[in-house]
Amino acid sequence: MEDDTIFIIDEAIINCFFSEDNETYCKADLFFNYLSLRKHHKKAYMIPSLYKRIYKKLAEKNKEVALYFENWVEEADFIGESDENSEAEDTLALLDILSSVEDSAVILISDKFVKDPLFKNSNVISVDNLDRFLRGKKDFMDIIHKMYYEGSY
Amino acid sequence: MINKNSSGLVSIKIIKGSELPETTRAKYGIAKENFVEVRIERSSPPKFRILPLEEKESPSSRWRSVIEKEGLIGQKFS
Repeated sequence: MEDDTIFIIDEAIINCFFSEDNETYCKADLFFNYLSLRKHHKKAYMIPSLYKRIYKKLAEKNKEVALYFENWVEEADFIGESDENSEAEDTLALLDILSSVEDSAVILISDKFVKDPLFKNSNVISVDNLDRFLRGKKDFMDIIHKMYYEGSY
Repeated sequence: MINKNSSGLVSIKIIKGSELPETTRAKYGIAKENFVEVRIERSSPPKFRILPLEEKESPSSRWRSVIEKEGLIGQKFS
């Protein structure tokens, strides 16, 4: 089941995990469990400004929630963010850096950038397509069914 | 403000038993394929707590539980 794909996320998949809608939540749940079951790249990258914003908001409420977030999300503090750049430009820079230094495929999971012309030559998928991508991985889904969900997926 | 109940907590890692030393696995009776939660608390020396996940408990279920407990369901980030 293991693939080397490196994932970059924005707030979309996090919002899904916090969703009250069970179907929406399950999409994010499947993704984070997928990361946990891997040997490599067990965290998804996020641009630093967004990471800090989410972490701070969570830690203000309960540090445990923030520390769980940290278990699955890596702050990409190696990119040089600046106030002059938009979030889209910073995200694209992160995609470009990872694509150039890593041999693995790099995929951005983002509902807001999936149709953005800035990303037309990049690997960007929506949360819905991520869900289809993961459900297409038979070995992974077999493990998930067997270990945790007993057919609920 | 940081929640006082978890202010000493510095890290939570959900890892597979295979990532733990063999002696630790033996001490806690953890199989290689099972997941555990490793909590590190600030003290001198740092305190490690190893909490095996229950059978059928998925790696992300505790995160969701604490989100529910804190009334954060429906929270949106942007």
